[in-house]
Amino acid sequence: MPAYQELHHLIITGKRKPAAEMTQALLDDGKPAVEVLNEGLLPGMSVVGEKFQSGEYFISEMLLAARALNAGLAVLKPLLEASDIKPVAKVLLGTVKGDIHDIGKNLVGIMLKGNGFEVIDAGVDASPARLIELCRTHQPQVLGLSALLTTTMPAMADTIAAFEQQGLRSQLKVIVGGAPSPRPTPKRSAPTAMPKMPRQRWIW
Amino acid sequence: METCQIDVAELPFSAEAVYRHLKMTSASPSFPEVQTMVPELYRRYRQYLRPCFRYDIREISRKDPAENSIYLDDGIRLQGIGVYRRLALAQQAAVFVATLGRKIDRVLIALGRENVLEAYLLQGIADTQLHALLSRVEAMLRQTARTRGCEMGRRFAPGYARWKLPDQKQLLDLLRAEEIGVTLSEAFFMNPLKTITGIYGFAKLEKVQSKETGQKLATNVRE
Repeated sequence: MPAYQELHHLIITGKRKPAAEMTQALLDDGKPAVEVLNEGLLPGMSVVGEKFQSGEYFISEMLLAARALNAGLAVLKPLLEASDIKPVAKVLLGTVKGDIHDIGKNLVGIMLKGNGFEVIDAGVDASPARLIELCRTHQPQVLGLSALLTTTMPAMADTIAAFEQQGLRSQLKVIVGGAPSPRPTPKRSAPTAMPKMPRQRWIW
Repeated sequence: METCQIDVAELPFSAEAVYRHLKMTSASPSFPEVQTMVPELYRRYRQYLRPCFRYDIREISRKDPAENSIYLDDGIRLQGIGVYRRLALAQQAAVFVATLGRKIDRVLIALGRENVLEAYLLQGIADTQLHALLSRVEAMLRQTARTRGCEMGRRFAPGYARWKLPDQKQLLDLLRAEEIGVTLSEAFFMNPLKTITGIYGFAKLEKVQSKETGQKLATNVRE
């Protein structure tokens, strides 16, 4: 099996230690770090995303694959940092204030990382003030907000309103997601795109 | 009002129940690895499970079908088509809150930062332990209902069938749940997260056994 296909397979099947060892072996063979990333690790995770979307994989398979991906990324990280490789975009993710559920948000973060995005995770119960502070610090292009409960959904609109007040909204795409988000409720933030995703998710 | 602390060893643990809860089968690609992780995670973290429940059995003083309201003996009004239908035949209502405590929440949040897979599996373990606790509460209350010559209906709780989630506060206040560490956030979710509440109707057997009301009860159960 060609080397990159073998690495794909290790990611897809969630083999953490072998994925790290294979990544190191490819570097030892003289492959550039960015090539190992783009030809080996990320395509493997893309296949995992497709399998998840089609229902062939469930959450545990995705998490195992993410663990293998992270093991490979850890090997590459020092080299990538030294080579000044830019991420596709920066995404600031957080579960909104009042809500402390984070599995969905973490899965989104995993898939974004697996597709070359840099993810800044604000964690759970993230207040508008904290998200604004992180936005100013990291200058993301995308803001992702998560909520599990209908009762915490209004915090999404409050957060977006706070970004508007601070003049930060126009420079961001906003993604909202979570079980209770079937419609974009806040009229002041009409959706501009709606991707097909396993769970309802809207880009505003 | 009664409060019961349970030794976690008394709650049955079933790895198979965790796999079912996580929608995994032996055919799942991750099954071989997860199969070794789940029992190990249970062994590692069960010390953080502090199962406890509190319940109270109240007389139903009045029913108002026009407003879909049930009044308990101290004037507390439970309002909603779902709760009304579920308690329509009952003369008493058993209200309970059951929790695994705050320690497991802290573990889950900390673990989620460093190992999402383990946190996900531990969530599944905690959820199934909470269901095991609920089963124990149900069995105890069903036995209590029988000693009172009653049949116990199915659990109902705020958030279901137009019983508004904010009414969770009524149940928690009634049980003085903060005394066992259960509080409600501004967004009306319970802390600790692994907490469950509910209400059961106790209906006299002769009422349940009459044909007409039996059909009504069956309808209630289906709903």
